[in-house]
Amino acid sequence: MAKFIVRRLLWLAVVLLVVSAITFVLLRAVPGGPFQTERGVPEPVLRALEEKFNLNAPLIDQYLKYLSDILVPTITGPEYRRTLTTDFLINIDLPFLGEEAAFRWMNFGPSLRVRSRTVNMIFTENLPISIQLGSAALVVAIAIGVPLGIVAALRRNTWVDYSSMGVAIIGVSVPIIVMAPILQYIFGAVWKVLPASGWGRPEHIILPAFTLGFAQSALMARLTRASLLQVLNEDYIRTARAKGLSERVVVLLHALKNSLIPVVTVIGPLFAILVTGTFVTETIFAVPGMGRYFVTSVGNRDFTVVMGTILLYAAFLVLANLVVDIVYAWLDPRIRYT
Amino acid sequence: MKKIFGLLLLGLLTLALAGGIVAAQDGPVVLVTGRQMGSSDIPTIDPALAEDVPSVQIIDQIFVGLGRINEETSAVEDGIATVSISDDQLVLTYSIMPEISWVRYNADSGAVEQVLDADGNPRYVTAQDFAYGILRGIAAETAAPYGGVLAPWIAGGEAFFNGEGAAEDVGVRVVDEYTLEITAAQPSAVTELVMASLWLVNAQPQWLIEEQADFWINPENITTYGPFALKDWVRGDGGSLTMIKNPFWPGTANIPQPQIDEVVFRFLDEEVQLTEFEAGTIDVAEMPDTELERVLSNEALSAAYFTGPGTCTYYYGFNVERPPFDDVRARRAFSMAIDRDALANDVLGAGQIPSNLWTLPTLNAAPTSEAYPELGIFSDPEAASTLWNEYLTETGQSAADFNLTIFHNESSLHGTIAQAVQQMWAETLGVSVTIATADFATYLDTRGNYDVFRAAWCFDYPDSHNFHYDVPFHSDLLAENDTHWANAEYDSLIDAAFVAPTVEERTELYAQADNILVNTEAAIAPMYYYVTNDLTQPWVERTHSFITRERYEKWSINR
Repeated sequence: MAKFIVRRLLWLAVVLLVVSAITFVLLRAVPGGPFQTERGVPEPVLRALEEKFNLNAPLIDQYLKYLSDILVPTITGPEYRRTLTTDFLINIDLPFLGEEAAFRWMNFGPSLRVRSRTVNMIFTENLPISIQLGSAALVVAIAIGVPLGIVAALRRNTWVDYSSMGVAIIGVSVPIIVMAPILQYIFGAVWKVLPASGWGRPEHIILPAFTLGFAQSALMARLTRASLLQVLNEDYIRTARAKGLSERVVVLLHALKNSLIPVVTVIGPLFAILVTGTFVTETIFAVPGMGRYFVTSVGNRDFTVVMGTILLYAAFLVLANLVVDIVYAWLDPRIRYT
Repeated sequence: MKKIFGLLLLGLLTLALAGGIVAAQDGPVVLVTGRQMGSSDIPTIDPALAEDVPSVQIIDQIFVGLGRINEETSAVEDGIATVSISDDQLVLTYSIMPEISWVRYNADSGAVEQVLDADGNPRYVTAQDFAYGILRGIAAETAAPYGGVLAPWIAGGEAFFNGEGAAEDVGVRVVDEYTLEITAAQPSAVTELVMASLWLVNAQPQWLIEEQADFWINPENITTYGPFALKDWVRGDGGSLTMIKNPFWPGTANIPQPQIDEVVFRFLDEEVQLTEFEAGTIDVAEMPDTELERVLSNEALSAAYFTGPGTCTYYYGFNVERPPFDDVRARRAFSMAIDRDALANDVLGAGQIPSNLWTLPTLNAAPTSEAYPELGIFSDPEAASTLWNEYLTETGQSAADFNLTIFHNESSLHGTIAQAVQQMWAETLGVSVTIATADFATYLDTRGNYDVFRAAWCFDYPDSHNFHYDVPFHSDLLAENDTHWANAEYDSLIDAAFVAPTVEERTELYAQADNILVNTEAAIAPMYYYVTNDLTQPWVERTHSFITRERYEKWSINR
């Protein structure tokens, strides 16, 4: 297992390298740059900006510089000053090397568009918010979806099944862009029981987490139902029943665990999507997460922010899938990694 | 299962109640206002680097310029200084109010504090702080987006901005601690207005900027002196920025001490602002045009509704290098074929004003349709058709020979307008037109390659010069002009209007220039003037700004 994990982590490095190269090339291939305005940018200003952000070097040099800023750690002394171009994600004080000495690693560069902010600041200030919202949404999705699926499978072809799947179909077919404003208007403006938008107090998370989670719960419910139905027909379930085990034990202990494999498969990428920010939900409920950066940074040609957010997303996706693979082995004893 | 749902519901209700209690707490007088952001955040609050409306709004409140534009009349008034202008209109001498403190918000004590110098004395805003700020704004290495707009107004400014001249040669001189002298590049009646409205002309804290570089504007660092100070800034979409009353601002006739303790800007889309407004959680909301009907049919909302003039003109630019628009008859025909009334009233319908002229009528020295009813381009399908056929016959072509493209940046509004215009051109001129779109960056980069592109211009300072020179129709800036149009007569009129001594003379010159631009040469087809629609709760007493800068120090809340 350890060997498997190490191998997968090495693959992660390869994936990130390829993703960064492709993103870099694509970004520079599209027309438009980060400094454009309706007015047009005067030549001296453009020169100064390109100089400042190293955009006048040959493309390959820019890419290599970008990679080395992230990958190559540095040790700094008392002369270090945090600026837009020297902001590191990982900073560890090294008191034994002298006063103010520090190990610094991973500089994702400054935002080219917002000239007082770095990509690391977006990671440290906005990503945690997306993680909170995404995790809460995932909990909602599982808490609603899995029980709904179980109930539907156990009461197959009864009104329980039909109404559970009815709820699931609503979740799938009503897009968030419709659901969110309706919930927001009813709870926020008409009943005034929940804040319509914003972030910072605990109750702020309820509406966006529910909206986001409910949409995904439908998927969970349908997967759980289908998979559980299949497992319930397996021989070992018949054996368990024949042994005289109670139906509760048969379903929860024997059937459910094995039927969760497809659900877990979906949860991995879903987790990556949810915690790295969801554009529509975050925008409608005004949650200051990462979601909007994904979209606006592309439109703004904010090269560094696009690169940073894409790499982050890729890393989350690969890591989440790794966790999924590990969970497989626990769910199904037949799965082993070497 | 039932238990779980029951618990969830109970949890939801508890949280909801807790929220209600928090909201009902007493505290300082706080005004909450919504702000739709172009991207995800207020881009900056650095006077030198700002280029968009939300940024300038904040800067206008935490800094105060030498002069100031009255938000209701657009007149120039005193800011932090009084001005005397030499008879030749070349030298502007500003006497700055003494002992205005630099302040910052201290998050630990929760109060706004004076900033002290190394000796422990309060730092006051001096002429040197202004000189530093102005030079910083036009220094090439600052790369200020509006450096190129300010620089040409100051003697030696343009050379310095282009990296050719020295800072010593720029016409900004510190006479004494509280006296600043600005020498204009040319004698012009507009220099005072430009100095009063461009946000680069603010005192800036040199000691802090040199120490903190780009991070000097972050809440833990920033030092300001205006009626409000920066308290808090949650970055990102859905974030907020909070300004707190600066008790050290002495209050002047034009800029009184604020009556509101805190102003919170919440970065919300307009649709969300409307929901929050109906929930009563924000005091002022921008209004989505698409909701106008619902707002007007609702008693409470229609009472809160306000509409006033906007700051922009919407137009289509013709690419004069591509046939048929290399011929003025084609350009005029296409412009006359646009039914501006139908566009503004039926297609848009949120109070937009059809425009026959380019210059925004609220600007200083602007020719208005009231004063010049005959001037400009007028919608006239018959004349358009006649002119178009004349062109076709003479050049031996038919309307079917052309397949033209309208290019706009992605937006449902621009799409709706383009479809309406497409239909008007098809019906009146028999031309088939396709519509192309792209995201904003691509659009800006490539719009000069299409037959027709949509654009809008919003003023930076409320003078007609901004609409005729800074927007690139003057041939000085031909490289940035995506219509590729240039006209010597137009240029000379704009140059003459720039230095003409009286508003009447200037207005007359701009009227002639405008008529060339939109009618006799028809390089662009102006379509309509924007409006500003907003909603205000009944307990807010306020002024309405027509220059996109609200002056919250004049507002009050009476619950």
